[in-house]
Amino acid sequence: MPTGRELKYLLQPLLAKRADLAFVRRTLFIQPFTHYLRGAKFDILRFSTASRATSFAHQLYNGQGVEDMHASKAYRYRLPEGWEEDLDRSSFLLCDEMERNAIPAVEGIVDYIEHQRSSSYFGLPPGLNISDAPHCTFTVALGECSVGDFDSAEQRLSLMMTFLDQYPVASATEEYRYSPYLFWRMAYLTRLLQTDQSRILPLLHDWEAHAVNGMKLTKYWKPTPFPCET
Amino acid sequence: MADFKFPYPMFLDRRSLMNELGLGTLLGNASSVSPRWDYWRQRWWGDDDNTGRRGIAPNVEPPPGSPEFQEAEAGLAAAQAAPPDTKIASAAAALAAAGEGASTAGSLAPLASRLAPLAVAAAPAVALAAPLVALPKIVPGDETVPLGDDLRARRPIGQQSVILERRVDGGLFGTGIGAKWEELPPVDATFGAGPPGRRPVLVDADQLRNAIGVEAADQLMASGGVTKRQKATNGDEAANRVLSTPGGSNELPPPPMSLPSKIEMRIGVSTDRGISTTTREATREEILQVCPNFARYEGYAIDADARVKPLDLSPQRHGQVVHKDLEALLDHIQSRLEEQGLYQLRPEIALRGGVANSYDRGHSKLDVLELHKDYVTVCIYDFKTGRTPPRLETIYRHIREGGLYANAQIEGYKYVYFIPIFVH
Repeated sequence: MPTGRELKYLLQPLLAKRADLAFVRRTLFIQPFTHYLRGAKFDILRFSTASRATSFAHQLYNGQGVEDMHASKAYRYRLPEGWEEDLDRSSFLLCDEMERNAIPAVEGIVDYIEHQRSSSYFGLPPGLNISDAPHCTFTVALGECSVGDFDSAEQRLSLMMTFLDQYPVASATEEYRYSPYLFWRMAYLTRLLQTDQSRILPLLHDWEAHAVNGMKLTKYWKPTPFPCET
Repeated sequence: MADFKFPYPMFLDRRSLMNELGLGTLLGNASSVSPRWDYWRQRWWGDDDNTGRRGIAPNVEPPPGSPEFQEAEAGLAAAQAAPPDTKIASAAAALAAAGEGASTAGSLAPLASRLAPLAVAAAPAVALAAPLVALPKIVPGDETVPLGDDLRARRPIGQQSVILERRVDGGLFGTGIGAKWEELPPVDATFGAGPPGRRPVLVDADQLRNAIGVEAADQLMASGGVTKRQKATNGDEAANRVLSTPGGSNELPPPPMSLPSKIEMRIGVSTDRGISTTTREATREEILQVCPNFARYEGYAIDADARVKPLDLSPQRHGQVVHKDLEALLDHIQSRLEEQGLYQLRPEIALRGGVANSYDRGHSKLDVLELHKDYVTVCIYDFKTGRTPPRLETIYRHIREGGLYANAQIEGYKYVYFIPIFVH
């Protein structure tokens, strides 16, 4: 398995060529970013010398400090076994794949509207409705909040939370604001939507900052208002 | 071991008693073809199998003076007034009445438990040999063998493997009555031949050392509290082993899991989306009912193991190479398997808080994660190239993570199973 440093070496030609790309730890991403972090993440295989890169588009204002890899049909590339035997060739192939396929797949996803157009990166399981998928419901509800449609977000989340009865909305107090668990953050947002919608946009900004700090990518981040704030 | 058969009535009892531990699920609730909305239909009454909560039987004794109370008191008086030889029968009649119909069952059930001891106390000793039908249903208990003051070996009813437990408090006033026991990390152990409660405990010495520490384990083995299983491969011990059980197969290493057998293995089961987990012994057939790809992965694992074996690698390296082979294979056939009844197959997935590919501190690496298309079943497989069973903490953590991940994808994945696949 290539280390982060080895990956950076392999990606160096691409990084030199494209100033809008950055590579931190094991993630190649487009910079500067605003509400969405987009790029490709290299995973860690315990037993193989190879690694897989998966494209992602992460909605930062969901408060999750880790890139979102829920999209099951995202673009994937697997570094071949024996990549270390010919570093120049491996580097060329990897840079080419990233530039031609992995990055373009997510490059356009800069806001909620564009995100909706890229169904592969929406996390919606094929053949199912949004209301069947909690993660997707959360993504849509947050997107609706970002464009100021709080009522729709509230209805959507309230319905979903009735099924997630282990995470009662009434119990989602301040201590769950930064919960690492998706369901508790969903419950927290639902509670806020039901009680005080004026706190929603500050919460989304706060979650965005929390996620960026969690990923230690602050210097690549450009805080911007949400569409409904402009 | 391969000839082992469940004592049939016990197995039936266990099935009903252990239902909340997931056995009911294992025996067919989570059909791979059940439509998604079965889950919604089931949950309303599936969560409510307590007769008290449903109002069929009250959870409190009827108040004194109520018709139900008077009826029961009259039955008790009649039982006490009757000649000794008829007392058991009267008690039986009272208990039988308690068992008739929902209306009387609810009212008399609490008093029945009071009647039974009185009736038994009043009866001559010989009457205790009367058929059990005269007494409340006796549930056979687990067999335990004390291993010193703070350790014991317990064999749950209907199971063959033995669980080692450590006492965590002194019980009531330090008498040991009502003491709490906690389960030690899994140790491969069985009972040898002998009278109940005094059977020799045969253990894997290395696993025992890992579980309770080297010094305590050696002390226990030196005192004869437990017997090293490896010893049984030599001389007299081997002869004893043959004599210990019919077929003498109890202490032999398990045959390859690919062979059809009734051998049980410890699996993790969660019936509430991974929030709480319990472990239980399950046969291969039971596992195949809920996670049918078990046989397929097992075959792959055995093949990979056979390919790597001639290389004569160290155990650690051997395990790495086998895992690598399997990961590459599953990655290759992922889409094909997804077409065959899986909603999603994720080999070698890292999860933290249910988030995929999260390598934060504390993340879990799952060998194989399957989300089934029935939208209720999640199967997590763990390839084991060594003989050490998975740690309980690992089972709980993997099930929790798998449940969180699956339910974030699609709401409704209620049943989460952790299945170890032993390659040896």
